[in-house]
Amino acid sequence: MDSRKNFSIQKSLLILFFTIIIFFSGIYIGKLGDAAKMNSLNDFYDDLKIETLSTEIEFQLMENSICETNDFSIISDRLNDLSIKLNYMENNLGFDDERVIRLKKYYSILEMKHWLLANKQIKQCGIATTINNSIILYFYANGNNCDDCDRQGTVLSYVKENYPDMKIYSFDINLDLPSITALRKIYNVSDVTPSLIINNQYHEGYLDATDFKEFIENQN
Amino acid sequence: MFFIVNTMITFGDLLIYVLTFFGIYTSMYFLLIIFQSRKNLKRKLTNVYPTVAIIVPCFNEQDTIVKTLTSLLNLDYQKDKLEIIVVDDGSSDNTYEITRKFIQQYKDRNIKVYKKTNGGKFTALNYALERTNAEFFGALDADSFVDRLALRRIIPFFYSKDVAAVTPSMKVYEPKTFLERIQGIEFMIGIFLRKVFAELGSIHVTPGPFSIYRTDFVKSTGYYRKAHHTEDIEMALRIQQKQLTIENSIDAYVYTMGLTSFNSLLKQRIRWYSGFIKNVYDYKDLFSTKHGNLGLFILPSSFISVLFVIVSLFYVIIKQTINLIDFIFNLESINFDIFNLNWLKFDVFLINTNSVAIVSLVSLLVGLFILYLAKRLSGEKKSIAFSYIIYMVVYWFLFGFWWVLSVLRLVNKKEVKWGHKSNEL
Repeated sequence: MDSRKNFSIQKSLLILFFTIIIFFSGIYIGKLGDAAKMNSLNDFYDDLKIETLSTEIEFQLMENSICETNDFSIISDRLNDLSIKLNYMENNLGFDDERVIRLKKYYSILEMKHWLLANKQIKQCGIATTINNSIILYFYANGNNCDDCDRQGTVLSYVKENYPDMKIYSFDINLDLPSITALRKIYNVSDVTPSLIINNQYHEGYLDATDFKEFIENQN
Repeated sequence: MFFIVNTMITFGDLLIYVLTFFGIYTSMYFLLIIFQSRKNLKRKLTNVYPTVAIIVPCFNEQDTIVKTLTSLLNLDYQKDKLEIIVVDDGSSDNTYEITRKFIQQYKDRNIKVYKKTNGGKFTALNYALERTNAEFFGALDADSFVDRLALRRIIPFFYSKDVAAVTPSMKVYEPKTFLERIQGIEFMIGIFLRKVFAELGSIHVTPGPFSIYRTDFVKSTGYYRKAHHTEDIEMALRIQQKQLTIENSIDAYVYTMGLTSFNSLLKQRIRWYSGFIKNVYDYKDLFSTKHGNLGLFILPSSFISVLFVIVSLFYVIIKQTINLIDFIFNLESINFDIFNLNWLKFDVFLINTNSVAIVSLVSLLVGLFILYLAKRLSGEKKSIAFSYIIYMVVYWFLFGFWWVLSVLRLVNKKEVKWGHKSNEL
């Protein structure tokens, strides 16, 4: 019989060994990539924290001229940027990844700080509420717990695209963070997701683009 | 989009991991085999000329028979040792008359033509086999033609009495259309695989066109059988069961016309795949340690890969359908005002570099390397980049689809008929 027909256990194990090395090297490189991205996200967060604190101090120092600052919308855009990246990491590493949860908590706190400053600016400068400078708080839940959150996300992306000065802050209601709990208490936000606080007015449930605009128009 | 919340589907990741691991393992195995036998892949042209009969079974081939016969006459082989036998399997056109006329022009060559009632390809082959005493024989379908050195390259592989058959390398002739290009790449990878299988003593399909057999073996084991309309698969399995050898001559090129219609390709593949399953079932005892690589590695991995393709096909279809429905619902929420949505947000950060992506990339690179080797081994000079892109996007889907339909046909116990057009052989 042709000796080439013989099954070689030695050869099979050798290939298996190299396959395992290649395969797990691939997995390891992927993990390194994830870790590098998390690090860059942490750096990004640190920069943003400095910028927010700086704006906060700027507000305190220039009590009467905060209406003129432009830094505010820049930070708002960067917050959105961080949100996109966080969402990506969440999908990659999982909703229960500790690094993601921690960064998300930081992000939420930063959002609240920004939101407080935005409110202060509106009050102090007597800015009239329009659809373009509306302030939205969006409460969502991850995973399969919220059927309409995906659609609500699309609606908010869409309105933000059309009204660039609109400020949208998103909060995961499942995030164990006392400040989110406090915020929900103030506005009586239920467990229903998605929920929205649009210019300080609470709305429970999903709103499509038309209803969303109508809601704001009715406020004015 | 920046607030989209997604669910992580771990089944998908698991499927990719299993598929890539299996893919990398088999690819590495095949690469090692080719590397080990790199000096023996080809043999010198023969200067010994045993008698060879080439059978041309035809059914309504009046348009192509002359081209096929001309390519056979152009073979670089000692004239008195080459016999050409045309068997008209009950054609209703002028195949027989045209062949007779052709023979008149080449009276110095050993060409015969017979006409019989239609009985299917295997009966035409047997009809010719009963009328030849040549030491070796092969068949050439009327829509295929051979490279002039093909036979001189094949004969040296009959180096031992244990070699019962030698397969050539099949290529698609000048692929132009979408489907032809896909078949072109498929055949090219087939050239690589057949050589690997030969080096593992595990060729389990001897392609119809121009595989050359030892006549004694085929006659003594009962000639061709109906074999679920895939007599070439049955013959290969028969040789393997007898513990004999099937060799491959990688530079013996045979050209075949690619199928251009989706339906004829589908029909061909259903016949091939269901024939493969039925024949392997008939020879199920091949799945044993006695048959070494074939029984323990090659046949099981053939079925495992088909299973993986079918599972991934269903998974992708279900997942993409769900995604599409979600996408439509999302667009509905903004009244389909797609022009006011920013689609072009690009950030290097968002390029997927997770483990699943890296492992998939590794297996893609291994696949590309195999394709590069296949291209080199098949002597292909033209660029195949465009064809390969089409192949990458579409082939696995078509492959899975053909297999699903073949299995369904088997489950329904529907008879798969032999297509009469020879390019469906």
